[in-house]
Amino acid sequence: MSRPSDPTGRVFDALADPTRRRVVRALAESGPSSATELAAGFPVTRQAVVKHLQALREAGLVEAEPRGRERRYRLTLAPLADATAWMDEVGGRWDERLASLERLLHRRHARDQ
Amino acid sequence: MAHQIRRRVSLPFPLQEVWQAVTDPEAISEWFGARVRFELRVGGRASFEGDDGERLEGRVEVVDAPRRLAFLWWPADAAERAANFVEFVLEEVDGGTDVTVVETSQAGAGPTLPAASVVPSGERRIGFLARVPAGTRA
Repeated sequence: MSRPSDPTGRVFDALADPTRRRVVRALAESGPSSATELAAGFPVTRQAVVKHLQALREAGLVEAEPRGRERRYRLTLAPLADATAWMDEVGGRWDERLASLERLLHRRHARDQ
Repeated sequence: MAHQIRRRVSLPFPLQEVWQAVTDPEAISEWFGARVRFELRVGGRASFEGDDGERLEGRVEVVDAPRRLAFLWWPADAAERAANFVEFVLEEVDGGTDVTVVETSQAGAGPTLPAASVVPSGERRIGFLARVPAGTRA
């Protein structure tokens, strides 16, 4: 019955925003990038991209490292893996339990007939 | 936002029978993978002792026979605010009963979280969150 410790829900919160998902995709496709480089591919300002990057950093999905005058951002997907592991684990437990509930009900019926 | 998983099964058995199997402690212990003690009333204590020895404590939050049961549960060695919220919803359908289970982790849930985004039944969720003092959530 063991359950993994619940990672923070910030991961999903951060990914609820479509622009942020595009930022994640851009970082996955292009590798570590500066906010200026990222903003070039978006219909929003550099400042807006920086805000999205900040939210992704708070969720632990992005790391920033200074590089020259600008920071470079790169993806760190471990928190996402933690979150999906939680869902796999908890969901898997319920799959087992519900299958077991159904078997119990079938057994009872077989007995009563 | 809190984590949430949702499962639904269609069982070819009458609503009352499914409700009994979901709420009677002896019946639960047969399918839950744990020895379950359960006081079937709002505020009733619950405990779960897993086949692997892990222990969880719980408290019943909603009893609306024969359709809804909800409880909080948390590892026995952790604080109650680490609790997950578990809700069973039973629906009578042609040929049987649909059972939906939703488990919601409260980790990361903040006071500004729109209640409706956690579970469909915003009303109950508000009631639940309202009892957690602000600032104590992870």
